[in-house]
Amino acid sequence: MFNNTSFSVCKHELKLKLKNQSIWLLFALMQILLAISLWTSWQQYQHSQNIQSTSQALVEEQWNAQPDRHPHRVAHFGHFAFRPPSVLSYFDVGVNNWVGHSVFLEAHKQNSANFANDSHGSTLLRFSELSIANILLLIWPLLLIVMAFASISGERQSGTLKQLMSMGVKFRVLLVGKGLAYWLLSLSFLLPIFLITIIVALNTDLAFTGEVMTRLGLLFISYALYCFFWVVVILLCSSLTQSPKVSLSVLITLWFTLTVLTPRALAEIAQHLYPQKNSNDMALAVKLDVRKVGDSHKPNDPHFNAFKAKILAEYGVTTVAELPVNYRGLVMQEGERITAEIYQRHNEKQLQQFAAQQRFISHFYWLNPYLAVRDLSMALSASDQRHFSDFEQQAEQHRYNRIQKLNDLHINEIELHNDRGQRVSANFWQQFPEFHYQQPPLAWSLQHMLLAAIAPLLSLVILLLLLTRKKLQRRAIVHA
Amino acid sequence: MLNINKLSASILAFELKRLFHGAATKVSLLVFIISGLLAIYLGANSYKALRIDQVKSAIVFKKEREHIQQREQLPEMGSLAYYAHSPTAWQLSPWTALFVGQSQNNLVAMKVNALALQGQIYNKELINPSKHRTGGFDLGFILAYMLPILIGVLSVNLLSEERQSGRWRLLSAFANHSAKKLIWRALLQRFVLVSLIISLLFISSAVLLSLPFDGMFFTFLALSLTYTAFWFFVAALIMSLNKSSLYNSLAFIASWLVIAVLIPGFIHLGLSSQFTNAEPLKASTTQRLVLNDGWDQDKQAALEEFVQDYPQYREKIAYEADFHWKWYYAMQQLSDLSVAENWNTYIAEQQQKQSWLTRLSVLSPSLLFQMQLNKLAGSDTQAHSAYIDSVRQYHQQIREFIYPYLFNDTPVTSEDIDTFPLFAEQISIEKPQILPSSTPLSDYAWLVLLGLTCVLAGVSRQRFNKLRVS
Repeated sequence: MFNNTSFSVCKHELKLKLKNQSIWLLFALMQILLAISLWTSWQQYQHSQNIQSTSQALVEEQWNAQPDRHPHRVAHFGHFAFRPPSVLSYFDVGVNNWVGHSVFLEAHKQNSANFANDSHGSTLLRFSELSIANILLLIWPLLLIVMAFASISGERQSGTLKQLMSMGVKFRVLLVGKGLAYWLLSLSFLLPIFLITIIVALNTDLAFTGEVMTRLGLLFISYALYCFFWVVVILLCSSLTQSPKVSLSVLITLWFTLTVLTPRALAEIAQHLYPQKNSNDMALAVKLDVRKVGDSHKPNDPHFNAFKAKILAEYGVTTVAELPVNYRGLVMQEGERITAEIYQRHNEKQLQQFAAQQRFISHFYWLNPYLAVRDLSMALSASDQRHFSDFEQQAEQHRYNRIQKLNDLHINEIELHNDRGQRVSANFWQQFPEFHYQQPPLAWSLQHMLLAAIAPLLSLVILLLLLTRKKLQRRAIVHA
Repeated sequence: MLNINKLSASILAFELKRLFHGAATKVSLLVFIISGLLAIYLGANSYKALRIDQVKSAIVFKKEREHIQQREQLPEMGSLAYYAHSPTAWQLSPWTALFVGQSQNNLVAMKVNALALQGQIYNKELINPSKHRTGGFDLGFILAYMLPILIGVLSVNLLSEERQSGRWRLLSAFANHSAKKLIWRALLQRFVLVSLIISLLFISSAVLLSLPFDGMFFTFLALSLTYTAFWFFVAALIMSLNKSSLYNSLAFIASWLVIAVLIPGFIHLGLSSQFTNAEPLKASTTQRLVLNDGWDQDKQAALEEFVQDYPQYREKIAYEADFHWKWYYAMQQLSDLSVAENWNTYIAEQQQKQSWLTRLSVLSPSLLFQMQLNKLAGSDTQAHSAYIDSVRQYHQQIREFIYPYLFNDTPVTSEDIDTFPLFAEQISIEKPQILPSSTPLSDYAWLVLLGLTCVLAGVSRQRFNKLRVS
């Protein structure tokens, strides 16, 4: 299929496009748009990186500057966990504008991440941010359509298609040549922005590891294939429609349906089918379950009575006053364990609902590769909902460990008698490890992305098969 | 006379047949109507969930209150207030179902207790951020962003189709005037058709959400029809350039891209780098220090400071034991006061951002239209800020309700619990009233949209008159 003829078709098509000044203008405008987007997202990335590291340092300092205190006071003083932006979030900002980047960690209570960037997002972001990823996903296909919609139907209308056929140019060869031309054009559009992305990243103190390179490489492949998908769709439509006018309106309708209409409708339907609990319901469910297990404040609570009996038996004494450790501290620790476990169970259910919503959407990957590439891009840039939830979970784990260590101090360093009046040395908690968010590795990022990688490839193969069928050739020419 | 009537009837029948002729037209109309109905249905469901949240919160609170009242010995007020998370409700009109605005990613039934407000006021609804990232699918989206595309499909190639069919040339041969009239009439027909569809969507929403057919309803409808007219004039203007149908399609989609996607995108980029929203974080880190350091400092001094704002308790600040709730709540209040400046800056920044957004929205009719819809529905940022402020006031009401008990060491009776203030009691479970505060015409934004439409109408009309038949 790849022979000299297809290369000369490709060369001819490119020459034709490059002669067109408005194409150059569009191309330049798009590159400027990308540059502006890269510049602002890079600044925002640095800004949030900065906020995150200074704030984390500040709260660690505040933690260590506490005077000698009762450990439970320290637990109520609490701590903060900050989420550093992922390295590639300036390429694809993903859900970052919708989620908070700091969690307040305190005793007895699991707070969700707070202080999202955006209060006006719901009005302004009907088309998502002008991030590089969104421009590539949404606007570049539209430009491709504008450039290529007439590539077959135009030739047919002007009669050149018949001429070419009569000269012995095979239809398939023509398709390959034209397809190659538009794909090369797309790649030349993609390459600069990826190069600048790498250059920007290399010129900073940022940990630019091999893994980030792999992620970028995979992103490049995804977007290159995404462009290829659109080239194939455009050629197919252009071959099947009677005139360039019809190809254009069909393609624009298709573009609107794939990139604008269905993603929104599907997200809304997914939430409708697999709703998560709202904040009040979640809090109520946790509260009721905690009440069911036991209330340490009640004198005759069965759970805590059994707990007391168990502890007394363990130490071989008859009253809590005889215990070598502080019973109130033990109760605190047990209470914390219970609430944390119950919270985790409910939170797990929430995450399962999110996953079910995502699964529902993933059923449509093969019909709409836009969805697949969008999700793949967010996963590779570590800016999707899963990565955010991972931060919240790491923060909760850190909270739990920190509070239970303080409860250990309460148990071992504070006497039961006059419990509230005592303090322990600040040295005890100054050695607690700091919170550092561990960015998940590539394998984790891509865990549920197999379908997103395979389904669009499958539909691409189907489209290619359609495109190379003899019948299509006949139809394409008969129309003329 | 009869003949003319007959003739115009048959012309109308012919025009209608032409209008519904193309497969693309039929499919676009169908997709638009289905999307609209789906958006209304899903919106009504989400709205119902919001209302259930509000009603349920009120019921849960009532139950808890009854539960406490049944106890033999009532706890002291300090302890009661600690656990009394009483619900508030953002009074959302049913129009929120269609124009969600801020209602989906914020709490609509925020619960507060008498502890420091700064620890509670920034709480947000639990959302799946990927859904919000996608962009939302309410009737507002359908009208502001999808409707223009439909108008483009229906109208932007009218002239070139007429020319292709030969009618344009034929009619122009008789009188140039009647050929132009033909185009205007075809545009008007399409405008009427789209208006009917929009009215149908509004009527179905009214039925589904039991909205009254009042001034509000017709304001929404009029606003939407103005916006529809705006896009028809965009199409007319493009047609009047008298270029090929390809050019027309491209020009229309380019206008849409700039107005609906690029301008809002740039405004967002600009505003989010201008306003970084740093105050809430500063406030919470500072407030926490003040609050906790209070335990290690002179407690009488803290109470002295507190009574500067509440001099009626000046004589009652002394206490014997290690701990007293009056100090505890006084300290909470002092910690709020210590970050009052951050809070005020935050509110001021929010307002500044909002006013910038309002000014800049003039650049994009789609944004303007959407903001206006949200504003009318009472789901916009300003309505949300007003709700947050009412939560702040309610928090003050609760605090001031418990202070006499704390400072006078008054024991709590069952009747006292009945007098515990509730958030704007009249709304509790009944259907919320449509807010009278949003008087649409007082706002200049709508006039801007109307003005833009009129300007476009004038320009396209003028251009059409100059149009040469070729």
